[in-house]
Amino acid sequence: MSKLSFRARALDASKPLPVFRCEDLPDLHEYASINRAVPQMPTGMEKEEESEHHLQRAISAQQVYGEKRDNMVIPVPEAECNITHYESLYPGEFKMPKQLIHIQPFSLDTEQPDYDLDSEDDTFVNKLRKKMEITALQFEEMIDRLEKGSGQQLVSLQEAKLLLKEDDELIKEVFDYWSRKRKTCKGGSLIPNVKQEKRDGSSTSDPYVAFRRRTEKMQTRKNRKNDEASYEKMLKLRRDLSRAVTILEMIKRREKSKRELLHLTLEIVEKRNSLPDFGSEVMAEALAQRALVKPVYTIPIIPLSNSNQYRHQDHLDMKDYKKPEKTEAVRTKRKYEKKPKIQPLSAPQHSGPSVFNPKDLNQYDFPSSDEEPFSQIHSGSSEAEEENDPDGCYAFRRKAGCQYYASRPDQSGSWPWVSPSEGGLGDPRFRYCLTSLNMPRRCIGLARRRVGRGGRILLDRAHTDLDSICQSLDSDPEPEPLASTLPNSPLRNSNTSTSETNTSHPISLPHLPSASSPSSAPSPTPVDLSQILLNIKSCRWRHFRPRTLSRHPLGGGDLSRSGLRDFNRAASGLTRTLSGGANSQNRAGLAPAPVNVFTAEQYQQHQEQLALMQKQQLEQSQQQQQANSSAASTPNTQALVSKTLDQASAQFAASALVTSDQLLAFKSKEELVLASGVNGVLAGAGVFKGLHLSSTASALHQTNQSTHTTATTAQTFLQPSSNSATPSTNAVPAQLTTPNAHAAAALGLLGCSAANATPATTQVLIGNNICLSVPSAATLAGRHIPRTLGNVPPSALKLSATTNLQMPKVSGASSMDMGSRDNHDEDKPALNSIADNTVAMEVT
Amino acid sequence: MVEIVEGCRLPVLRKNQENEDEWPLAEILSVKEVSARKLYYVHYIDFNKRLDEWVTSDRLDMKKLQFPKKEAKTPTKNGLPGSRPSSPEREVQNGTARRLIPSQPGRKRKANCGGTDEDSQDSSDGIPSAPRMTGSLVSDRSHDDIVTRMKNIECIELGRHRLKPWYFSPYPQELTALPILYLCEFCLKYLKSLKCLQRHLTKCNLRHPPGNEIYRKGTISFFEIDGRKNKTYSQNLCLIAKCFLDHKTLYYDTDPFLFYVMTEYDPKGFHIVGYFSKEKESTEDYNVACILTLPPYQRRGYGKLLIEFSYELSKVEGKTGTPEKPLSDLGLLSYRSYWSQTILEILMGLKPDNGERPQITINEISEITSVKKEDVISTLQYLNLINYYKGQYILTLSEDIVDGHERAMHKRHLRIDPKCLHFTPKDWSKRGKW
Repeated sequence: MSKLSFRARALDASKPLPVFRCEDLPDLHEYASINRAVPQMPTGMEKEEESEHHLQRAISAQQVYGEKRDNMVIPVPEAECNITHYESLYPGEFKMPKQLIHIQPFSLDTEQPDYDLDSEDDTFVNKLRKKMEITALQFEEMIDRLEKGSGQQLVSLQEAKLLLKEDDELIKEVFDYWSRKRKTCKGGSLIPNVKQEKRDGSSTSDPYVAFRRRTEKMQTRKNRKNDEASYEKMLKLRRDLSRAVTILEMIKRREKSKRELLHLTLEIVEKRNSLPDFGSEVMAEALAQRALVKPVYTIPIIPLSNSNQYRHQDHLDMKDYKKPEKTEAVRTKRKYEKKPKIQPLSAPQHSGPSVFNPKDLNQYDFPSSDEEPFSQIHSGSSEAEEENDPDGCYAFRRKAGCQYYASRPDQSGSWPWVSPSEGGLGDPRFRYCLTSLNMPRRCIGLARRRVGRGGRILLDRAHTDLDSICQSLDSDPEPEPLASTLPNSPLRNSNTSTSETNTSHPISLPHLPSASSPSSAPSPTPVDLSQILLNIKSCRWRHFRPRTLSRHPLGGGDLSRSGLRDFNRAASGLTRTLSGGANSQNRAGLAPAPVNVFTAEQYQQHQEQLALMQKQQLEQSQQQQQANSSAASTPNTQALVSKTLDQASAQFAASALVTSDQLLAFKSKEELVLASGVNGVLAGAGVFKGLHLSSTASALHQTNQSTHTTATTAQTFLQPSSNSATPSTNAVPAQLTTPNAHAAAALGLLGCSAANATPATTQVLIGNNICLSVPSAATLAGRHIPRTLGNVPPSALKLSATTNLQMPKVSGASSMDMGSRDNHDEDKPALNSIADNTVAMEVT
Repeated sequence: MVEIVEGCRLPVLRKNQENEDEWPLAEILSVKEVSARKLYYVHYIDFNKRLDEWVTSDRLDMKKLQFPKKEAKTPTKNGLPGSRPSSPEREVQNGTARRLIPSQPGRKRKANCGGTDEDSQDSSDGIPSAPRMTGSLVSDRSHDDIVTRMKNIECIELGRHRLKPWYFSPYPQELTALPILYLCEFCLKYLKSLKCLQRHLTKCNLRHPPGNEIYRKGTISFFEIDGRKNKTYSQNLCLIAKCFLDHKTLYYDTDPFLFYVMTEYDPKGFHIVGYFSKEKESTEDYNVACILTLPPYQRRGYGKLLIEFSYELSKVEGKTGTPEKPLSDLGLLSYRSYWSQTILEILMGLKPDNGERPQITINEISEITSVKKEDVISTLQYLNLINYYKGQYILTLSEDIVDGHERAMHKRHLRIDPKCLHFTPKDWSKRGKW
């Protein structure tokens, strides 16, 4: 049996098998034993059944004979044919349709009752038919409803009466019969049904329960995603459809009106015919009468004069979007009917710029659920609205847990920006004044700034016919000629004088305001411009533009010039408004300002105060120097310088005091909608940069006049104090302590321009965000502040603290700015450029 | 007289196909008393369950009575060859045998250790497990309790025919006591009486299965019914089919299946002859789930026609397919017969080209016929066509095979004409649910 010794290769399904007839291979039987090498395939039957007698017999019979013999087939229980009643059961014929049968979806849903009348019912119905009218189908329907109406509990007669539409008598009969039959029925329902699975899972192995739901397979991630998508689509569809409904509603209304018109015309014609009015005299008379009575319909004008209008528009869009969500035909109708009555009345009443009523344009709009005339505009935060919201990330969103009240009409008059004549507070801060923007750089004409909802700064603009001039007013070249044509500039002179006085004559600056005021009239501007500036001077307008920081100084170049320019910006900004100082003081209504008008007497008072403060300061600085002497760094000269600087800054502060609030106003206007907190931090960061670089730079350039000290001394001296100051500013802002003033001074010096420093401080005031911006500025500045300068500001601070809590920092800053310029002209260029950078950063 | 209880084995008289008496060994599955006469439900050992029946005591050979062995109470797989697990204890009430099977511990143990193909969802002890959700057949015996082991419907009247069910079917329990269960021939609704059927027929206007006709040639038509869209009909169809399919499960709903109902037309309408169901998406290449020719139409070539049609659908789909397992005895015979004839038809049709011996690969056969490769191989083996000859496999056609095939094909009149098929396969995976 050597042939068995080798194993046949596995049967390869992809290998061609030659097909032979057995007679062609006489020697095949010799190889037959190898055939077992091919594994037997399973039959696919249950093992137990595979061995069943009849199957095996049939299989063997098949193999023997190649086909089954009749007596070898698998026996099955018999079936009976030719049911005699078949013909009567299925009467009629069904003609085979030519086409393949195609069943229409839902065509199988017939309203036929599931219940089928049995012989018992038949006798009952026949009996009942003698008394009242009832058909078998009707009976089946009744039983069907009763059966389907009852679950575990049978329906009561009362319920049955609701379920069935037949007469009570019939219902009673059928109901009684049904209840009786139902009681004797053991199956539960008279309509036999395959047992349903029970929710509790107790029916898992009940053999009579069939067709259970397949639960697990339904939940797949894919499906869930689809569901989401289709849900959104359904929402969209619903919205579109309800829009269509709205349109149709409107069309219906229009057509009704047309019909009405037609009827009325017909009526008129008939009336005239019966009158008779063939010559149309009566008609003319009637028309003339009517013309008198006829109300004037005016189309509501959309005012373009204030910025509110845009907001209304936005809300309109929102409303438009929201509209289909609340489709209520009844409401529309009612609104529509109201409208013509209101409109003619209200339209003429608004004499001035017509008051915009969103509802007028939105008459088909459906009010939102929180329908309240005032809250409506700002209410709602549906996603649909956000989609359309142009405000983007500044869009107002409802916050969870917050309650939003509608604005109250009785209070609406008392806003600080509403003039007293209109019942407002008339806060001078909110007067319109000439305003310009840094980015983009242009003058926007008359505007006012106010804090809007959520801390946003809103800029209300007023239209004047000088607007076009205003726009050309502030184009780029303005400050540059100033800087480049310095020698001619009166400001230049005043500056030199200040610098002189700064070092030599402590109290030689009283003329500064007057001296600097001419500086705000630059020569190259056209006549119109000078006219405007004249207006500004005579405090007819107020216009601030303390910063024009577009160009960096070319190279190291003229240090003094760049420094001067720096000052220029601050000073020009200040002085421009200086003449309006009286106004500004009035406007600083929040703080009881002792210096209301900057007159000569008041300036004298200031001087006295300053002198007093200077004494105190001297004492303080001496103490500080003693404390610092261990830390060792150029204390003596600095002490001196600090004194003189102190004077200068104090004086300047005195002047700045007047204008600082205007500065503030200006700054805040510039900030527009930038979030205050963010801005504050930005400013602080900018200051920090400036501080750092300048302090290192200044360390290299120590002059006699230098007020600089090393950064290390500044730190040792100031850091603790500034830290301690921080809480005090937060808690009692009015009592600004010296260390904090130092910080502010540092801002002024190292931030190198009032323009740069002010934002930080103003932000504090605007955003009420003291914690955030001030400490950062103070601590950052404190690290690098020259110690001697630190002694300077208190006087200014104290002075300003008395007037307005907003002022100290500004004044300190500005004064220091001046002082630093005078003393460190050489150090400035780098600093200046940095300042420019930081300012730019802040504006964007 | 000794009492005969469940589990007893004894020879029982029955007539064979030649109408001769024979005394095969049978097991008593149940005992009931009807009008003071005891009736015994017997299962003939080694015979298919479909032959189980109620017998009177006079057909029992009491002399050879074997009482159930102790261990026989705990059913084992390796008992007597072909023997079914012996019956557990039961309770007799009102002459109807009622079993307390579902929670029988012995039965459950069997279900758990014997259920080999059960999916992993088969839970551990204690919690009744749900069967797998794919397919339509139960390959294990987990639900083969005494209730489902016994036929519960006496007789079904369907159109012109009265059918004797072969197996249990979960018709509403209150209808199982009836001597005859009436079915509407077209919508297959079950009714308790002829009167009800008459009433129903006044309301039911169907004269064909409620689906789309996708094939018609002569009087033979095929209707496609979606198990999700036409639940009522699908369930009714499954209920009647269960009467003749042992392994069919009705545990879950019919949603994932399509039903192809074959009808024969006469002036009364399109009469159901047989059907097969098919999963909309099969993970195991099944192209048929359940397949049935109703008994009155059996042994007349309809079964082969159904099978042929199922492969025609697979050809349109461009897939190979195989029937879901397990096959019944009749299923195996029918499929083997179809496969044999189909493959032999191809092999005998091969013409030698260029004087070379004709050759063919198994894959080619599979592609031509849509019969799955494994089924092709098993058929070739069954027909003993594969031989190893001189270092390679060859297919050999003996004279017997050729003659037998020719005779069989001569008798096979009913064939599917692919031209009459109007069928576009749907990609069910792209739909959310079946």
